[in-house]
Amino acid sequence: MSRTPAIAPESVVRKAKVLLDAVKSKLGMVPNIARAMANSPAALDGYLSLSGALSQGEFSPPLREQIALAVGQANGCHYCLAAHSAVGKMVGLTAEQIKDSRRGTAVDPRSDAVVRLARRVVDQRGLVTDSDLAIARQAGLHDSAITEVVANVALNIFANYFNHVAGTDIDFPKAEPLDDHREACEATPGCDSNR
Amino acid sequence: MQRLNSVNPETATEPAKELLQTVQQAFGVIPNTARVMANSPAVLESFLAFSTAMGKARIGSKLHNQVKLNTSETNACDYCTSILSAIAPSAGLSADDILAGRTGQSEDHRTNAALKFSEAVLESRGKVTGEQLVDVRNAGFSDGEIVEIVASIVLGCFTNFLNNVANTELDIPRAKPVEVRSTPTCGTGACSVH
Repeated sequence: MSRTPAIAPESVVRKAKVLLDAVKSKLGMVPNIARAMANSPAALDGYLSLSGALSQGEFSPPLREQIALAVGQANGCHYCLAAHSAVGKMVGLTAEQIKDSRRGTAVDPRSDAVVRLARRVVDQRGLVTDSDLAIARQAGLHDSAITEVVANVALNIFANYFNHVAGTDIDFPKAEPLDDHREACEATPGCDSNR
Repeated sequence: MQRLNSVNPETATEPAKELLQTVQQAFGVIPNTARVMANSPAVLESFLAFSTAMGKARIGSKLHNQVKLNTSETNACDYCTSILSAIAPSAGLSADDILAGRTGQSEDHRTNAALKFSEAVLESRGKVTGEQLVDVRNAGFSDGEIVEIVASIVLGCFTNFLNNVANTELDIPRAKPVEVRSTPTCGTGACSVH
């Protein structure tokens, strides 16, 4: 159950309303994450500005969704996995690509390098090894792309942590289960697959 | 050795050049972390926009900076702790305020509750217990302010992760190490999604 109130767009102060209206015109709906974040117009503005600026970076919308799925899985965020499975589909990811992203991989070598580096950044809090960076560079990621991976991780951590704290009610179709417990577990750091 | 390039503001091309000038105007200098971000103008812009938005946070700039200091200690980002300590006085933080942020312990009951909550969020990746949420509410924090504490943590993680990846060279005095209560946990711990 939601632990912070969801703010209805018609009831909020002007600043929050402007922001929620902008979300609506972009997505055609106002998802619960935005309504719950609207408890603080400054934080919602921060989240939307962060997301908006990164959408102008070099990563395509599907690749940004792949990162979101990999990070959401790593942090165990059900809301985020539901939302990004839906948006991922909208921007052209197949069901298999969505699952691969959640497992921290991709078929395309460059996307694979991006998704893997994103997972390493989450798992190591940025303290990745020289070899992690060498692998990313060999796959063609320059400093600009590496920088964008980190920023996209930060954006998704925002949503992950926030949704956990808020207990945001899921208003997207539930994410598909990964094939079995062991597989889901292997895609998730710290999980005991024998449990 | 630094692992990502620092963009030289003199030779930068647009739009990085203009963004770096914005940083110069705001801080009087262009810290190395901004030069690293400038590898991707979109990233530097996203960071500046997020920071600017948080300038209007109801929790105020003092607590916002204390949460970022606390996050930087937990994430073991020396560069971040050092630069935040260096700029904190201009945001109104005393030496004691800075120390409280870094150690996660404040004599002020309200600040202490916020820092404890912030550590719990980092440690559990947001999966705080109902009790932890009640504690921070009982210390007087509204839903909006709780959202802002989370946002401050994330802004901290943004620079922490980037400077950890880049191993950004210090261009400011290194902050003296302090004893911290918590252990690094931003990206570890058990969780499972099916």
